[in-house]
Amino acid sequence: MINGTQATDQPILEVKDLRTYFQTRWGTVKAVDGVSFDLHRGETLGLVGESGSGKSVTMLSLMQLIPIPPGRIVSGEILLDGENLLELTEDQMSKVRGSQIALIIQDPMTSLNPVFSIGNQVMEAIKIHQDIPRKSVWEKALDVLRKVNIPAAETRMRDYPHQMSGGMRQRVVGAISISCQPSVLIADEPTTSLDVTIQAQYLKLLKELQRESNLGLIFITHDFGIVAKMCDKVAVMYAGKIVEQGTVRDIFNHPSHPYTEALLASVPKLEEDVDRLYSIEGQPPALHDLPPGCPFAPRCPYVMEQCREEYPPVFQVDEAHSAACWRLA
Amino acid sequence: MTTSAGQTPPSSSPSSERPGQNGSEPTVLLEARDLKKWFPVTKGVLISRTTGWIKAVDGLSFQIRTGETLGIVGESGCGKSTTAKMLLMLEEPTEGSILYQGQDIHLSGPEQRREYRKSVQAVFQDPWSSLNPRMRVKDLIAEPMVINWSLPRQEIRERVEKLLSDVGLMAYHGNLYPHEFSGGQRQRLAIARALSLNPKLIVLDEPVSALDVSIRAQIMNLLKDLQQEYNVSYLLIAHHLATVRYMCDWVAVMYLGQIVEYAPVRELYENPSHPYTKALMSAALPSHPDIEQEEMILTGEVPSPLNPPAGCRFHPRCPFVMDRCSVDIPVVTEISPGHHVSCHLY
Amino acid sequence: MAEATGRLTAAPIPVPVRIARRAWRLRRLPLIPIFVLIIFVISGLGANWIAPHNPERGDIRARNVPPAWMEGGSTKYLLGSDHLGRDVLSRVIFGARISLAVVVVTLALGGIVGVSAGLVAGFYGGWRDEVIMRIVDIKLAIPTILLALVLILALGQSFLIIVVILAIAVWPRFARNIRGEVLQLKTMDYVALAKVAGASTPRILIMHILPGVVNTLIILATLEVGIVILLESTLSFLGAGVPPPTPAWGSMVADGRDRLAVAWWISTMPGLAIMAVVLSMNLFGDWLRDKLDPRLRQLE
Repeated sequence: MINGTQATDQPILEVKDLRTYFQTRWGTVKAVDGVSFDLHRGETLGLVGESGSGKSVTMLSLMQLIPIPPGRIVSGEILLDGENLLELTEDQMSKVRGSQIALIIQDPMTSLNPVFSIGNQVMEAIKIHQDIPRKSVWEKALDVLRKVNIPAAETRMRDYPHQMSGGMRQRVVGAISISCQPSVLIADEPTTSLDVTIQAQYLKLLKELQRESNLGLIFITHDFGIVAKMCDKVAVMYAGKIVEQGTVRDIFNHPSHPYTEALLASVPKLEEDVDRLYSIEGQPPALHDLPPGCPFAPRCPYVMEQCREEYPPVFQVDEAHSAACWRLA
Repeated sequence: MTTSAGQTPPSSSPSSERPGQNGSEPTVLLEARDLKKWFPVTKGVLISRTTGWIKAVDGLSFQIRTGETLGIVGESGCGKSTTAKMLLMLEEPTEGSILYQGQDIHLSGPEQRREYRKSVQAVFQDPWSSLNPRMRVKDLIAEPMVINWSLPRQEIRERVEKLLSDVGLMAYHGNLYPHEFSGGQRQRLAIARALSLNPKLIVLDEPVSALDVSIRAQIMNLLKDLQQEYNVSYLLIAHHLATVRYMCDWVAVMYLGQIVEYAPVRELYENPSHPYTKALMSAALPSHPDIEQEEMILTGEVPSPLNPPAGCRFHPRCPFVMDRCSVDIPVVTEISPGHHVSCHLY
Repeated sequence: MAEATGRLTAAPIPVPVRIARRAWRLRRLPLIPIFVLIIFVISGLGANWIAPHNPERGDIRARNVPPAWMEGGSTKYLLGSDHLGRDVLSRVIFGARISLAVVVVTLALGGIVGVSAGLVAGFYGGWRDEVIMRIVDIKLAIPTILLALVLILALGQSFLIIVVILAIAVWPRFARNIRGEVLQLKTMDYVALAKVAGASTPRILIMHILPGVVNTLIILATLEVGIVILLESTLSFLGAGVPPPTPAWGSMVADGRDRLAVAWWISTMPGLAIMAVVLSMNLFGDWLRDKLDPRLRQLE
């Protein structure tokens, strides 16, 4: 929930008109094309989209992990606590990465190195970003492991990943990602689907981490279920642009962009019988060959003449709710 | 267009379509009786000896009726894929039997086994791995017919075109190779191939989980439509509970190689009774932010099927565990018509 | 990066576009190696018509004539003549025929045995795999030259025996790599689905597994060509190759080795031919490997 005090705060992360293009053999691909959003401390933003929507490239742009070339951040600002990350040198940026913005990957199996002990890996993460004496690195690592509720943290420090359960490994990954007290945590969804109970454990851990350090949390996901359970705000991406943005209740109760509306109607429900799901015809467009006008127009049930000609501007639906669709004009 | 599926009242689906409440029950197409699959654990390279057994599937019984869908849900390692492989005759059961139209397929002759093989086809999760990249689409779809039927080439070609149009593709797509299609289209091709022999049962192993969200509903609706048209039964293996609710008539919940709960779909979702089912339901993601879920997060891991816990296999993780749970194996109880639970609470 | 490449649509691709794409893919063609290999193949196939002289009959009056560009050289013997007055160029051209024949037959033989063994070992697994892979291990532990010399001593010296020996030398590599590939391919869902559709094991092997290993096979074969040529030359050099007077490159090098001071070209010309062909084949093989399957870079 966004409460009053947080909403008036200065946002911890502000992205303004971010554009990331890729040079490919089919021409320029506008993977992220004018994305803007902000995030406050303690708030959770869901960046929702399908593959090819640009959500992952947005995340990589925030971390400045775009391979250059073929990629290039063409324009925009990424303000972290008022400082524009795009103006930093690579050295400065590598200090920001991990210490101020951290990335957490859901799969605990692949994100820990099997040949180093748990303590070693946590201490390594601390040493990279903080200049503190050896003795206190140990203390600090222990402290972080306790923070993520790892029982018997002291003995666990000497354990290797294979000696721990999946849930515990997840917690270690969480400990590493918050070890340097980042202000923004980006949770990237794995491409392979995890078991529901493991996912539930992971989501609970993230909530804990967020509460612990008053983090701004960004979920990169395609699953509206995760959004419903975890997020305060939602930005829906399609073909490199944010097509709708609002609070989670705005989005679920009054979806204003036909794509959001269609996506919500096409997801089966756990709690009720659905006679027939709405099915969005066609497939997401190829980014190197976008139709003129609104890229969703070919699949949109409400398509109008205007949609095929001109990309719609962003219309304000409500105070914090906006969408880019000509129907709102 | 349904502006929001939430506006569709849940009661609008005619109850006669739901099992267990129907006067004229559909006939049982396939029945599994006490099915077991144990994999030996061996030591030694040339002269190996068995040191233990992985009980991947350990005593499953279920029925699949004509034109209906049975869903099997459970977490990875619960044995659902092994079950599918046994139905597809990719694995031999260690014990137990599979009855197809009343006949035990492992006791019947080679002719009947061939007949069974033709009647049971499959669609798998990964549309990138399930189509041979070096064959043209028309040859892929025709392959089962070429193997099993002696049809003239012209007839096969016509049938391939019919199947392509049934799954929403065009005749010219037949001349392309699989890599020229998107994930959703590939899954359509896989479905067309699975339908080519007019099977009675199709095993669907996570058919939509590898697809984009906006494509999933297309494929699910297509599968439902084809079920009507071809009167085919489905065995759906999935971990996404909402998908199972949408697709299935019956659901079996598996844990460590056994079915812990088995019920008609609405009964299971509205009245989950086994603690494991309840935990799964509470861990599943809600469809709306205002839905309050019971907080019931399971601790620990699924134990190894090499050495499953004594008594009820779920007891080390069960929040309602009692003394007898670690000693006695619970018996299957029918708590309401068609709703079977194996738990000492009932 | 999947984000950026977008997705392929299934509209039919016009033929000119396909040809253009193919041409684009071939843009970094290794032209010089291909040129050398073409000359090698043409020499091998057309030696009878191309060679200016009979390679086995010498002219006693024209012994040790230097190459044409050297003092005392003659355009009659472009690369000079040897101690028996035979034209070196003609002998090199005919040597190409021997090498080509040996390569083709050896790879056909070794390839068929190796691929079959690899398919069986990989697809069936179990005791068949154990037996085949142990034989491969044993073979790889025996020095090839030693084995060859012993076999030639025991069986005699003929084209057929040489080729069989070389095939014995190359098949394990085929078997091992193909087996690895098959192990991976057989876990593909389409193989399981073919079984579900009722396909017999031979059908699965031929329709679904074999096409998947063709790339590996082609790459392996090109890389083996160099090895075979070198091995054959080594055997010829040691006097255990194709029996004289048939000119083989290895035995020509051996012939000239005592006369390096007076007539260096007798050894050097066939030596250069060996080097040019093997180097070109390896360069071509590397290029092909990168084109067909970059994953295989760890091969060799």
